[in-house]
Amino acid sequence: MTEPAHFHSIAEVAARYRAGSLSPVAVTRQALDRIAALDSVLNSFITVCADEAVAQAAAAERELAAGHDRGPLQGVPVAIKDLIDVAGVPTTNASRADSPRRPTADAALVRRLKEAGAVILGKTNLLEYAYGAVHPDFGQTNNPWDPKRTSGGSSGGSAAAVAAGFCFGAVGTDTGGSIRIPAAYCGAVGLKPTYGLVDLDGVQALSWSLDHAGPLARSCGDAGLLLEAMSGRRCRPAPLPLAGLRVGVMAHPGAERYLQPDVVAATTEVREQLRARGAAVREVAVPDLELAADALMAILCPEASVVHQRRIAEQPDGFGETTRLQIEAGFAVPATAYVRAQQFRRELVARFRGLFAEVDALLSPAVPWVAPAADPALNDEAGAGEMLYSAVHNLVGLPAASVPCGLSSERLPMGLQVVGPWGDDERVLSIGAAIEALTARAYPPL
Amino acid sequence: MRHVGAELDAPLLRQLLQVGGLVVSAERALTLLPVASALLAGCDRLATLDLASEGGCGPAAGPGDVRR
Repeated sequence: MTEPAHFHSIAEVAARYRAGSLSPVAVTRQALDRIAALDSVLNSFITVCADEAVAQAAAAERELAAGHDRGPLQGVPVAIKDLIDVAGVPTTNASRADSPRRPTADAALVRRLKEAGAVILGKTNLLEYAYGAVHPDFGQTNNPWDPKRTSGGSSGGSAAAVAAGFCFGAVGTDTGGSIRIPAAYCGAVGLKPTYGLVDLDGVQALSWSLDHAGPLARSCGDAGLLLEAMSGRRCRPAPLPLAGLRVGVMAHPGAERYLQPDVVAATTEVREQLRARGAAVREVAVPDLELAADALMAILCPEASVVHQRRIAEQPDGFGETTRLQIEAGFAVPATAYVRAQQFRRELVARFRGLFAEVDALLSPAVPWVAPAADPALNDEAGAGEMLYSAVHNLVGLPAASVPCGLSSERLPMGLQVVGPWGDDERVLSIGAAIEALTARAYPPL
Repeated sequence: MRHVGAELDAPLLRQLLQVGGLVVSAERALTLLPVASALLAGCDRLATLDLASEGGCGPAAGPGDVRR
């Protein structure tokens, strides 16, 4: 092992715990020290639960010594996006509206992570209520690869913390790309699971019919271990043999407006490597895909306005101005537009069902560009570009992962999106693991 | 079909918001106009779709759906 322990995989840490060459308390203290030393630059954590984390690590250490083995996450430090409840820890939603709340119970996915023995290091920064904009009191999460750039949103704190080696995995949520976009910007693996696979009880809603919770990690293998704990469904991805794999490269109308040359080159390189290893790679298209972002917004905005109806009436000044504008504008969406978007969504599900009769997986860039200085507004041209490849999979609920696929000429990470059929989350991560094996592993210059 | 997004001004937006359940001042409606116009322009584009399906309430109807 050549990399420092804070960049180990979960499997490596778990093995070293059991071999006695590392201990949960030492690893947790090291993570806390690293956060204390470096997070003033990144701003990835809103709350660090130092005492609780050390106590959880000590408990894991005692259990392992006594032979009570809960599995690979036991004693492993992880972080939770701060719109997910952890009992006894404030939930801020990175907002001043109805914030902070002080939950007395864990979200279902946190309860599952704790049952697996994970150590909860703290709560990570996000765009306000996951709605596309930074609240000025909480500030932007900066990118570990270049702190003058954003880590992306809305789960930017989770992605940055994982990429920076502050923790071994984290949880994010994704309504239009909020796991996959920051994963791509930070060089992490981010999985939006199949819709409904991870229980959202105790997770602040943004748009209930589009919301997903899922893992961010430094490898597809680690993401699988986290998903297994969060969902209760076995997920142990391993690099899939590529010979004979039927891969569809998604054509997105209008993508050329947004795509950076480095992203095109990285995607082409992976495609050629897959082909060279025996995969059957061809371009595929879904009709009307250019309207997916419009459909997403016609659903997301009114659902978010309903979610926040009481808060916007009682505490409008508690929201940052951009978030407030988006919540207010959602009240103007006609019911017919919402229904039409849902109709289109049903149609898209049928079209993707047909596509997966012909291919095993779909590939595209996760985002058409590398991390910008700041997050684009959700409802402008740049916002549509950022969600170009991700939004449609929130509409149809397919499992979709962003997997690192190299560095740009500016040494910034780029992400490749891998999508599979409903329920095939493990296979998506297994294809991701095969792609990981084709690209050099890189760490941010922190 | 006439499209709301193309004809939107602050007074009409104020009425739309009120129908949706939000009362705002005339000044606030003016501030909201660019965001709402962009949103409603997207709704107008959706109206051009010729859809065969009769319903749709999310991805739950997809095969392999694993909702609890």
